[in-house]
Amino acid sequence: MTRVSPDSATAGAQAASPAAPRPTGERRSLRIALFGNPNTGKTTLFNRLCGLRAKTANFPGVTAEARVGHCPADRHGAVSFEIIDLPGIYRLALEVPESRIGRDIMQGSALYQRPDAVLIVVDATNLARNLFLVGELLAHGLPTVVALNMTDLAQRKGLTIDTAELARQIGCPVVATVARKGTGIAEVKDALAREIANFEAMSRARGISPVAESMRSIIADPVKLESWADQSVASSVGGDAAIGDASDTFTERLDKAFTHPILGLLIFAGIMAGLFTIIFQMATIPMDIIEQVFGVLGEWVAATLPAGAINDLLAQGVIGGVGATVVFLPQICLLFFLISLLEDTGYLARAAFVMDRIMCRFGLPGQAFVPLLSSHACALPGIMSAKLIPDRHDRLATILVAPFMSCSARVPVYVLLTSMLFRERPWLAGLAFFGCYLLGAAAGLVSAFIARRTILRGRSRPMVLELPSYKMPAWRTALWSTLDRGLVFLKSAGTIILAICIVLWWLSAYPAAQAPPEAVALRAQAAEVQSADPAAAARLITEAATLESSHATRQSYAGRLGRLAQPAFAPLGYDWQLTIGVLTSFAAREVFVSTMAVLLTGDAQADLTEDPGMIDRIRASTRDDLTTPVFTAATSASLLVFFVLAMQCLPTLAVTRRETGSWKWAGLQLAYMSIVAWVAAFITYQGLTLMGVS
Amino acid sequence: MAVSVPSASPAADPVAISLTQLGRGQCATFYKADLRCEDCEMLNAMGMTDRCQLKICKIGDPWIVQVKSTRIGMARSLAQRIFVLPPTIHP
Repeated sequence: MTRVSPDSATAGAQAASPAAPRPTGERRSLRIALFGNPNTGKTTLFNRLCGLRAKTANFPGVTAEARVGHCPADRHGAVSFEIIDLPGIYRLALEVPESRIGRDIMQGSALYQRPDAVLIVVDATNLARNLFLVGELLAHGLPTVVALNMTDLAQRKGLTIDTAELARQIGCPVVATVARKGTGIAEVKDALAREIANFEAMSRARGISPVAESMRSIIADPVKLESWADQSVASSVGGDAAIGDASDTFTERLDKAFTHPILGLLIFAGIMAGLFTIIFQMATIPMDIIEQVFGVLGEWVAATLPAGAINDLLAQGVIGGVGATVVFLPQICLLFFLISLLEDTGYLARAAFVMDRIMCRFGLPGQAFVPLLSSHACALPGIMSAKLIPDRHDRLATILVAPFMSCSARVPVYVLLTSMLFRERPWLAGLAFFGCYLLGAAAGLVSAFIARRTILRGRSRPMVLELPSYKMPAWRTALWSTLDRGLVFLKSAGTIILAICIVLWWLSAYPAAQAPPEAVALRAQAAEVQSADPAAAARLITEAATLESSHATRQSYAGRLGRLAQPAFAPLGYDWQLTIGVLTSFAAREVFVSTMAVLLTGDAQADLTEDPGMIDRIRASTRDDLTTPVFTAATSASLLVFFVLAMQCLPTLAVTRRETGSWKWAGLQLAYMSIVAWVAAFITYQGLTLMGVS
Repeated sequence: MAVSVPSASPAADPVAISLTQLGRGQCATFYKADLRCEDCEMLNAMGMTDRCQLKICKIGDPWIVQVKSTRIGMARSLAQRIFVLPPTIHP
């Protein structure tokens, strides 16, 4: 049984006094660096300490993230802790980015500020290995507290841990905690406050602590460090499973099933199918609500403000643009919530091995599967979830190819183009639709294969992972993680994505064009017949609006750019109207359908599922020569291939930049995918034309 | 780059065998790993230290070994390049 002191869960903090409020009444904030091995419940403890008073921050110069939170150190509130939840590391001395951040923080080097104290979360069921990191951190001589977490699991495994003896052995206070239940949290704060007060008193008297001095000589020799850890465990841990090699039949049976070549794959497929069904089913309702809220808001602004540029900017540019991005928030939140739950159970580590067998052939690790699968819903959460991948090259390769996966925004385009190609043969249209998904996935995997042999040279490293214990997921941690990712996404949507939306809206809305003479004539005619035949008048007004809308798009900057860029797309079979459609869809792919509807039929509210006649009207539209259809078979096929492969999503570019820490990778993604799409569409169009398909 | 960790020469102990030659439930002593430096360091940090005892929990792909309380899963290609000293049958 885990033993704790009768009056407190804290051991080893003798003769200490809590950090009392300063007489001057000034508020004091103390920086606490939170360290721990992966899978020790570090983030759960952080959430218990800081709750919602936390935000995600990027470390300068690297893409790794940390959460920074605040909590009062005592009831007086005069002293507060600023806690930095650092990435989980096994050792400080490892040459991996996460360990480098830890070293820099402890040394206060580069742009980092040295903490006032260190809190180390240690897995009570795996003490010896966790103590390596404790030893390395103690050598830095800062006030240190060890949170001995998951003591409930240790009890269940039959371990008895004498926290007082452990504290004596390692030379710093040890607090027994069960972070997921909130046990020992107050004691952790008390111990930190006491250690800091002790340290300040001792530093004035003696300088460097004897514990730090002794640890420096121990960590210099790996054998000594291991003996120190083993000896500390031997002195303080008892029970049948003290040496940690007791058999765990339950874990072994689950591992056997989850990592089995066939059964493991089936279980994984089932879990992923369930996960994405939940995402698609459950996200629909909040997505519809968001769309409606932004729609109503846009209409209200348009009706309330005086007509003019400001009205257009707010109603269409700002509200319309942000609404089109924020609509993906429910999918993102659900994905991260479910992934967090799965990760917490310990299953994802096993699933990574199942997929590794397939993915490693293309230079990707098994962990890339979840981001790539998520990208079929939307590339934004897919790219954001690539954080699960520990190796930087593996992560970059995954991010670069994720937008090849056919996301839900491509669906309206696929519907339009497959209907153009196979209007009378729906089974062929369905086959083509499925082929689009296959083509995107194949292009992504082949591109990853190429990237790992060129710019991200090196094979995906053979996978080696710690397999954490199976446990019930912590709902609270999953909720906090979801909230955090949601806020990161909203921040992105509210800044860079908003700016992009405004620019694209402006390009497609300005300069405002005068109504064409045909439209003016139609409106005059409508006015004449209004009293005699209101229905005919309404039809004439609709026709006039169609002409005005089409004319405005042609005269806009985007329209002019379309005409200017048309020669570049001529080899793919696109006229100036299709070129405008392709260019405007860089804001978001689905914009292609509404652009085509506006340009070719003048109906900006086109909905292909609600209005089947719309496809016929688009199909019947002709080019400037008034005889050649805009959508020939070869052109439709070429467009379909182009849309499967092209990087036409500026919000995705913004998220790539954020996740890779550089515009370089976002630029490369855009250039590479655009070139691949152009070449593939060129081959398709020219090939079909040569075969006589037109 | 192939790195041997720990530094003992394989020639010094001709009975060292690959981890993949062990069966489920067998225990052995870690001897060396012919892997890239970063993989060796990672294994070491996970607890696979010089002469540590390890137990085979699952064979195949992945290979699962237990070192003290840590269960480590590794690709078969990696397990092939880890060498251990003769096993004893685990009770």
